This record gives sequence, structure tokens and C-alpha cells, in this order.
Amino acid sequence: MRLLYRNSNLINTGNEKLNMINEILSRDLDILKLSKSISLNVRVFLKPEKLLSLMTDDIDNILYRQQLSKDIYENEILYNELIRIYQKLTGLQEISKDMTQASKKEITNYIKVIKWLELFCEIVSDFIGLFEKCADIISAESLKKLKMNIEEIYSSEEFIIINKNIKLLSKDVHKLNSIKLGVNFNEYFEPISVNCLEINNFYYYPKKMADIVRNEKKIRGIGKLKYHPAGKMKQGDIRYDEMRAQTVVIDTTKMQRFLSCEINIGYIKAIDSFIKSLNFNNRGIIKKFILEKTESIVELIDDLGFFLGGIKMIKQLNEKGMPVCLPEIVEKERKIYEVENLYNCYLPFILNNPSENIVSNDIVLNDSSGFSILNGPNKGGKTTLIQGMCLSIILFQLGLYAPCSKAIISPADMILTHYQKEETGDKTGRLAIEAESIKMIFSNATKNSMIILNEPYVSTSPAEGMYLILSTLKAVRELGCRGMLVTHYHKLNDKVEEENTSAKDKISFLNMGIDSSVGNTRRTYELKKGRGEVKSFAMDILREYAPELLD
Amino acid sequence: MLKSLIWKNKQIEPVIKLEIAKVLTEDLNLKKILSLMSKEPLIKVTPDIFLNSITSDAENILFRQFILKDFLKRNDILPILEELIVALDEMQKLHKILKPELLVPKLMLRLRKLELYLSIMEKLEYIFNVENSIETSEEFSEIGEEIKNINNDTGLSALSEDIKKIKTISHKFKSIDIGINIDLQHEAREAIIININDFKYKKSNLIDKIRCGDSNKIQKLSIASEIDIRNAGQKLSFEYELYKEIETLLREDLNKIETILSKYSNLVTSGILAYRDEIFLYYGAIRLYGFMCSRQYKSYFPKITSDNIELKGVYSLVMAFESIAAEDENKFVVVDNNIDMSIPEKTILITGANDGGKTVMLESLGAVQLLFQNGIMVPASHAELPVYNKILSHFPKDEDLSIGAGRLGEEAGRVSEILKEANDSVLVLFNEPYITTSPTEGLDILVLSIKRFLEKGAVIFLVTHYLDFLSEINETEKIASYVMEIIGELRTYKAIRHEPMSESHALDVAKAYGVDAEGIIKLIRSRKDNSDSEVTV
Repeated sequence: MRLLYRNSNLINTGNEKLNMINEILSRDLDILKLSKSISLNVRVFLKPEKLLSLMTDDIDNILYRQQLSKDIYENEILYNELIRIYQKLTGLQEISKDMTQASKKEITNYIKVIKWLELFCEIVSDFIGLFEKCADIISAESLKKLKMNIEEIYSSEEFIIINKNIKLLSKDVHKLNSIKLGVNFNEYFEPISVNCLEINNFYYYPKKMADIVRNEKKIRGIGKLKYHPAGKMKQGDIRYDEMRAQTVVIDTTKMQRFLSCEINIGYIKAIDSFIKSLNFNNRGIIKKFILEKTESIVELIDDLGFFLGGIKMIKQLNEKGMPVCLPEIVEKERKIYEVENLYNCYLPFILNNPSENIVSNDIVLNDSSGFSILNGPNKGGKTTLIQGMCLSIILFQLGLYAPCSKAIISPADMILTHYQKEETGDKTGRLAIEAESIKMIFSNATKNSMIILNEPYVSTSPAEGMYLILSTLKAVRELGCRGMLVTHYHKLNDKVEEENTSAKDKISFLNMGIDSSVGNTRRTYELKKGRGEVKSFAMDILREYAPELLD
Repeated sequence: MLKSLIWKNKQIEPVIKLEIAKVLTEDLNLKKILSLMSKEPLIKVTPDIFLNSITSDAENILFRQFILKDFLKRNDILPILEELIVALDEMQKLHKILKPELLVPKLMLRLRKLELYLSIMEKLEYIFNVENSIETSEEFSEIGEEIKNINNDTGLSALSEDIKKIKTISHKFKSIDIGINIDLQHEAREAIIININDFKYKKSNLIDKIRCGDSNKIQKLSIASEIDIRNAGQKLSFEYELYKEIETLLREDLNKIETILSKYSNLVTSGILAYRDEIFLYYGAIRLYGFMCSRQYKSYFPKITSDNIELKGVYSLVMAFESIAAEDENKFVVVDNNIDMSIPEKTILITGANDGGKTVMLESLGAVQLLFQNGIMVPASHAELPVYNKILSHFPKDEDLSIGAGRLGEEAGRVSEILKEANDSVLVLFNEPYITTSPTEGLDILVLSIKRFLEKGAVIFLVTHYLDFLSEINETEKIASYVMEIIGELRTYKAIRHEPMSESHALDVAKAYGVDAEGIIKLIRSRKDNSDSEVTV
């Protein structure tokens, strides 16, 4: 049962190329921030590459996910109840972590299995309650499927038996009450190893050792002391024989952790063996139940966590006064990307008063102009814009809301990016690194891909850099893909316009605005059509950040 | 206490400030060089150790060169230094432990510190007092004499005997029995000491099955002190009780141990930690020398000059490192070069073809300077170098979107900070600055920046693709221009003294990767023909 995939054949099993592309994308667009934003727990979040691998370009699947996003986003009750159930599911996951796959099937890790089953039964009951409460508001196909699945489990014979008898199952184990360990010490009085000596059904009673010494007058220095019973043995008390269990060697530098870890290691192995020997009923039912009925619920954890986290982020954007929308989906082949009031969804979490301080923009990439050159002043917002654009596509193809007021988008089969990289320090120079990256892009891109080139070919002489960019643009025309190229090489634009006259696919021009009307120039962060200024206003930057360098 | 092993004169201001160290380490790929000096994972010469030791005092440099040369005369030096480093590391860990409250751990901590002190001083005496057949410098002999005197005053042999006595007493106590009560969740709740024994439990195997209900072997209830481990997170709770009990039971023996240890109450063991980083430095230098010799690479202890730079046969240790790791050794050919700069020159400019070895050359020059100012031999056949009070670098960095200054703003800010430090005793390394703007503006800013640094008298090593730089800057007499040689399309990685060429041969590189104009179209068309363009999403 997957909330992310309508059909199991749509599940992305990953391939090396796509993983590599996602790794680059993740680094260039700082997807780690997105991963953390859409996680419910700040400490536990999907790895960026894993998040990107969840993207889909299948229209039916995007719609499938959008339905669920809409249901959760628009219904507070559903959202809150699902969060509550999700937290229990993570509890289930925690218990499972302690159990190895082998243990789970052989049910040797009895205590943990009992706990796991108790929680599982609770979760199923919670879901039943939720679907009853929200019967009228659920419209997503995935939730309807989930409801059917839960009802099937709830009504199964195994579930009924286990739910009824869960508390009785743990009784057997309560025979075990105490354990005796022998701890060896070195000449620095540090413990170095542990042996398990006994497992008992009775408790040890305390008495001061100093009192024992006083009473036992023969004691000199140290030696084996005699046992002193605090009371009579009760009938039925037994010792399960002496056992010399596995020795655990303790690293003496970790002496202070001795108690919390090493004793546990020492006796858990013994307990495990002890449990194995117990005869308990219902083992067969439990085994069957766990193996056959529980997987569909357990699988939910990741998908549910993803949706709840995603909607959490979208709600936060909304609370900050920023618009969000579910994009309209159009066919891949139309290669449309039309958005209104797009903003970079990282900015509201950084800036104060985001609804006032963030400049939104409209972008249109379609059949007639699918690829654009983006110029603009230094610090004009170019990198922020292209990042925002890519993030909107990623969120769309994850099935979530996009950070804009309106959007019509054709899914891209890939998003391929090229950003400047630091030299790696082996024999490969920076230009070679760039060339490798460009090659990788054009070895994989199709006409349905989105390509983003952020200041390519700056690691060579300007004249040669421009020549190589022109070659790359030829490749873009040949391929017919969508995308943007950011560059400070203004002289390039003349050549591109020249080539546009004879090319079928035109490359358009966009620029980040600058207002130089009043004394000092001011970056407007507004995206405009056309070529813009023929300089980058670098000296402004110098005046602001390094006035000492100026005359 | 023993005087420093690396500082003849105290250094007041560090050559490499803490905040610069990280930048320099990344820019010059120092970690690879330092890994040649280390024996990981046991002994790691870290950037901090290396950079904190750098000196701008010529006497310090010479002092270290003498000591190092004397070390290199001995074949057995590395293993002994390794043992010494391990002991010093152990001592460092012990000194980080907070003073225990209870008597037993307090005494045992003191015992271990004294044991280590003994071992360290014995090793130091051995290292610095060589056989008469090996001639050593005055500096080396002085240190040896000093160590001998300190050890005699301390009374090392008496200390050794006393330590043995203490351990005989402490080792009477060999094991304890602990009973642990378990709650319903099978968590340990109470731990109770049952016995203290004078025997050790032997190792044994897990038994196959448990015999249940054997009433012949009923265990009587055992009693002893209760120790509550419910709050096991309070790490000292069990040990605290345990040691309190031991204190009571073994009072007589502990008093004997205390009496013996009190003879050494004036002996400060922490002082010896000052030598840890110093020994690390010499150890690293010797390992580096060993590496160079094993590969038949040259090494040289540079002479000190006032201004001029003369390097013959200088090569890249990073490339040498890469050549070990590479499967195909021929992929990493280590090429040596000659570089010099003499008055009035203040800048070494490096231009040339893409992939021609410019950055490698820059890194090598930086690394050579750092090694030299640490008193260590450099990768060259001959070297004469000046000493700088500060060494700074500026290499391109990925944009930090969180700062909001844009790449150019971040870069300008960094250069501005470096300029504030600049004077006539400062070396600055620049690698392709100001490429994140239009070419015309980038060149203008570069020329401005270099002029500012020249005004302050700083020495600059600069790599750039702005080929018009030399013609734009007026002070060409201050610039020694080198070009990384290319013959046809072949990069020789040789630096030749020449004005910048007219191109960077980027097309060769593009062609080699198939991303020139022809190649890239071919790539796309061949994919279309093969219809293998779909990647599963």
C-alpha cells in the first residue's frame, strides 16, 4: 500500500545515472534545506537524493498525489489525526530497529514482538476511527484504498485473536527476575570483562557490605564473602543453573559507560537464550500475522511522513502570507512552464515579513520560447530565481503544492543542472570538470528535460568561454529542451540573436531588473523580458563589500 | 621543565591565524600532504598542529632544521617517536578527566599519569642521547643534556620501583559479583554487589540449553550493598557506590598506596603535554622525508633570503600523493619546475592553458613556503626563500546563498579582509579571482585589487585567465610572468618565463570531452539515432 504510487510499477527503483543526476541536483539547489523543511522531525529527514528520487513525471501519478495533498491540506482534522497516527507508526519503526530480520521471523526477540504487536493493534484501531470520522471529507483515491486495506486487516481472524490476547502473551516472560554477573577488574580497579553466572526467578535483597564485614570477623582485606540470606526461600523459587555465558570484553577507556551498555550486553544475550527455551502458545498465529498482514501498514510510514511533512511546509508558507497552488498538469510534450507570482520557497524562512519583502515573478517557457538566457547585475537575484524555479518543479513533481499563485506545468523527465564547482585537487582542472558536467547533461537530456546552466565556462579566457557557450546553445536548440542559462557574457547575446534569425527554436532573453534612475543603482529582483543592460554593475558590489579596493 | 623542542625564540603573533588556517588547508590541499606525514589512523598530523607551528623567525627555522637533520641520521627514530606519541596522547586523555571525588579513582588516575610520565621521559632521554658514533648539532646535544638532568633530579628509577609496588597492592582485588534485578520490561533496575573476589572469572562459551526446575541446585539468596541504577544516565552512580565500598574494605591497602604516591606530589605531569605537537611535527617531517626518498624525489632544507625566491626542481607533493592512490600511476606524472622572483618583482603571475597545471603550481608554491617556515625540508632540489609574517590565500568558493551577498560580493569581502592584513612581509596566493562577473569588469577589479596589494608591498602569487592583465596593469616590472607550457595540444606542465599567451586552449579540453561545437551535436544526434535517450524516472 503506497500513498506515493498509484501502481507499483511506477516505483522508482533507481538507476546509477539518475542517482548521479540527483546527487548533482541536490548539491546545486541545496535540496538538503528542502528535505529538512518537509520533515516532521528536525533530526530525522529524507536524504536529499532520496527525496529527489520520489519525483515522478507520470501525469496520473502526479494527480494521484495531488488528490491526497489536497485532502490533507484542506482538512485540519484529517491532518492532525494522521500526524497522531504517524507518531505511533514511528514508534513501531523504533521497536523494529532492535529486531533483526531473522529475529522478527523466528520470534526470538519476544518482548519486542509483544510491544510491537500491541502498538500495531492500536494503530489499526486508530485508522478505523479516523475513517469513520472523516468519511465525508476523504476524496483521494489513495486514502480510499488505504481504508479498504485497514478494514481487511481489522476484520481478519488473526487480528481479532491477537488484539484480544495481547496482554496474556507477555505473562510467560515475567518468570525472569534477576541475573548475576561476574566482573573482572585490572590493577587500576577498572572493569575489563563480564561473565553471566546465573539467571534466577528471585530478586536480590540489599544489605550494606560494610555490615557484612563487621559481622564476619574472619574477613581480612578482600576475599570471597559468604552469602547472607535476608529471609527464607519461598516455594517455587528456582535458579536456572549456573551459566557461563559469553564474555564481553570492555574497553577500559569506556569505563564510565560500563553500566548503561556493557551490563546490558552481558545479560541480554543470556535472556535471549532463556526466552527461546520457554514454551508459549500462539507462536504460529503471531508469525503468520506478522508475515502476512502487517507489511502494508508498515510501508505507510515513509509515504505518510513525506505527505505530512510536505503539507506542514506548505501550511507554513501560507501562514507567512505567501501564495501556494496545486499546478495544473499538461502533457510532457507541450513543454510548458507558466507560473504567476513565483518565489523561492526558501526565502520566507530566512526573511522577515516575507510577503512584503519577497519579490515574486512570472515566468513563461513554452513551445515558442522554451529556453532563455538570463542576464543581470551581480547580486541581482539570478541564482535565487533559477533555484526557485527548479524548486517549484520539484514540488510539483512530488505531488505537492507549488510556491506561486498559479501554475501550468508539463512534467520534466529530468532536471539537469550545471553550477560552478571548486577544483577537486586531483589532476582535473576546473574547465575539465565543467566539460565533464556539460557532457553528462547532454548525454542524458531529452526534449522533455529541464536544463539549468549557471554561469558556465567562466574558468577559461572570456573569448573561449563565449565560444563554448555558443556551442552549448546549439546543442540546446538541437535537443529542443526547456531551461535557462545564466551568464555575465553580454557579448554573447548578439551572436545568439543572429542565430535566432535562422533557427527554428528561438532562444529568448530575460534579465533581472536594475533601477539606475536615482543616483545609486538599485537591484529590483524583478524579472524582465529582453536583453537588459550590457554590464553587471560589479563596481556597486565593490563599493558595498570592499570599498578599500577602490581608488 | 624542559625547554621547547621547536621554538628557540618565542613567537608572539602566529603566522597563520586560527580563522585563516581552515581556508589555507582547503585551498592548498594540505590534508593530502599531511596524510603523507601521518600514519593513520593512529598518528594524524592535523592542519592545526602543522599550521600553528609555522614561524616567521629565521632562528626558529634554523633550529628546527638542525634537530631534524640529526633525527634523520638515525634509522630507528620513527618507531620510537610513534611510541612516544601514543604515550603523549594517552597522557592528554588522562589530563582531560575531571579530578575524581573518591579516593580509589583519584589514586589510580595519579598512578597512571606517573606511569606515563616515566615512560615518556625515558623515551625522550633515549631519543636525544645518541651513541657517540653519530655526530649531532649543538642544539640537539643541549636538549639531550637537559633531559638527562631533569630525569636525574626526578629520580626515575625510584619512581619505577614505586609504581611496581603500588600495582602489586592494587591487583589483589580481581573481580566482583553483581546481582541485577530486572523489571517487567526486562530493563535492569537495581545492581547489588554480592562478592569481592581475589580470583578472576575465566572466559567461557554460551551453553546450549538451560536446565529448568532443577531443585537440587537452589541458590540461596545473596545480599550486599544496593546500588540503584534506575538513573543509569548518571554515569557515576554505580561506580560511585562500588568505589565507596572498596574504600571501606581496602582502607589499609589504599593508605599504603597513598603514602607511596605522596612522594611525587610535586611532580607536575601535565607540563609534558607541551611537547606533544612538537614531537608530532618532527615525526611528520621524518615520514615525509621517508616518502620522498622511497620515490626518489628530491628534498632540500632551504636557505633563507631577504626578498628573492629561487626554486629549482620544485614539484607537487599533492600530485605525488595522487600517484600512489591512482590505479594507473602514469595518470599522475610528477613534473618539476624552476621558479624565481627577484627584486623589484613582487608578483609571480601564472597563466596558461586550461588543465595546464596552474593551480597545481600555485598549491605547490604555497606548500613549499609553509614547509619551509616549519623548518621542514621542501620538495625541490634547491631552494632559497624569504620568510613571511603572514601567509594568506584566496581560491574560488561555491556560493553561500545564506549570506545574500552574491558570489562577487562574498569574494570582494574576502579579498578586502586579506588586504587589511597585507604589508611588505605578507604572502598572498590568488587563484582565478573575479570570474563571477562580466569579463571587462572582472579584469578591472582584478587590476585594482593587485595594485592595492602592491602598494602595501605584499608578495603575490596569482593565477588568472584574464590574459590582458599584464598589459592592463602599469607596474609590469614588479611582475614575474610564467606560462604553463603547451606544445601543440600537449600540456607539458612546465612553467616557462613568458608573457601571457593569447589563448587558454579551452577548445582542446572541450574536444577531449566531446563538448566542442561539433562533438556536442554529434553526441545528441547519435543518441537520437540509437533511441537510448530515455532515463527512467
